[in-house]
Amino acid sequence: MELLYTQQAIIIGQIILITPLLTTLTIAAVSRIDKRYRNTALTLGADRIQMAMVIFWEARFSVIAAIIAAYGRVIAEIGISMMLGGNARGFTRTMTTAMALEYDKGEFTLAVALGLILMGVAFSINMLFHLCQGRLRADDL
Amino acid sequence: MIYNISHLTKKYRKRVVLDIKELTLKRGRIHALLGPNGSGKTTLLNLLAFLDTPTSGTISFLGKNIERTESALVALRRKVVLVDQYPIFFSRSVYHNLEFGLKIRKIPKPTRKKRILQALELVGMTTFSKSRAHTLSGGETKRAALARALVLQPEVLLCDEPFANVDTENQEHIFKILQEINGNQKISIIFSSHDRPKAELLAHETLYLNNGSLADNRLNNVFPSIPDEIPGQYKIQIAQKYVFLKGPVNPGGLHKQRCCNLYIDPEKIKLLTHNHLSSEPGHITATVQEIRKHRKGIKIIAQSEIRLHLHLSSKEYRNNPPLVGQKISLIIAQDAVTILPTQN
Repeated sequence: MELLYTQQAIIIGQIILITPLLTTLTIAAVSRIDKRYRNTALTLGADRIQMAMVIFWEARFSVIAAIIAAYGRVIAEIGISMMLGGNARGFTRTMTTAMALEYDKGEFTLAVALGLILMGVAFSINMLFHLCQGRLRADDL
Repeated sequence: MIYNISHLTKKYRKRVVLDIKELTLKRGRIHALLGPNGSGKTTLLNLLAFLDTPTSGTISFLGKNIERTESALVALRRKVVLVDQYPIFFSRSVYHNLEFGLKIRKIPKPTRKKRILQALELVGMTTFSKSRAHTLSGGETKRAALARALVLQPEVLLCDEPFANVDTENQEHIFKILQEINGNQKISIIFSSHDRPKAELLAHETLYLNNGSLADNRLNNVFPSIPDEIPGQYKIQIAQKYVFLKGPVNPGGLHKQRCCNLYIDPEKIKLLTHNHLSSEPGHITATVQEIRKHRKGIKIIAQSEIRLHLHLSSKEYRNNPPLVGQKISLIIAQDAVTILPTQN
């Protein structure tokens, strides 16, 4: 299939890695939703798909949180990126594999700097999520 | 008729929560479902709203047997709306909540707006149109939930305890709304309640559920009791006091010391003129609380340790007319007491 050491291989690997996590967190989020939402949607005339949309809407913040958690897991991941990507410069090198490489070379300062950038990215995504959450709540009206 | 129920049962695991042999509910009428907690009122409403499937038996709606396919159920649910005891709103505005059902019925936007405003006006909540539904108080939530149901112009409105957990003012408001929509829009209403006087006033017909079964319209005079050590004697405990009654001796299926529900026939309670009763079982002194017309006779509500309803013929009442607040003596004979069937 000539997928090894390609960007596609990393993407497929990461998807396989986060699917169970994302599924578990989404199921947990949706199952926590009050059963009355289901019955209310049905009694107001919704079909199964419309009812599912209602439940998904009510669980939206938890679902987004699950996505953010999965994203955090993926960007901090190194094993799959290294094994399937091969850490080829300018092609399959990710932040985490670059950090590992610099660490191996003894370039600790650069490795730590890359780590801080990665932390900054993760932090910004979380901030963005919280901002969106506030905006969505305000838009409820 | 709107519903026809035949041999309907609902079981949760092995526990039978509903067992109705035959029941017909008429179109355009208000039916009240009464009964103690856990008697199956909410289960029956969920079945009538097509939100739940019976374990066995049939429900026919408008003369047709129900098909349990997804599309058939969606079509039926669009004619029947259930208002929950604790209504829940989607996390949007009141207006958007009311719009939900209309949107999925593909009603054009201008008509949607008109119907929403009419429904909000009916429940006196026009000013709450843009409020977030989660910020409403208990009474407002109930009224908004009624508006959300009424905007869909259903054929049947099912209400689970519409008067529960709201103040007297909101209770009156809800009472009037239900009366009005039944009178003007001819919407059939089935509601459950613990408020017997209100239910009697509002409903054309009342049904009493006990342990999942219909109890012959026995609206009042049902009391949980324990068989006494003396055969044929029963005691009703009210706080620290007991009321002793004579009843059936060794009724079938009743275990010693097992709680059972006693029904006192309001027609068979004897009203005495004098106030000198012995302390025998079934002899009670009570205070008259209410006197009103009931069918062709008179109903008296009297309060002792228990609240008793008596039915007198007009002649009996004329011979011995008690006044509100007056102490009266009552004799509940053995033949006035029956034991309601219980389920294990």
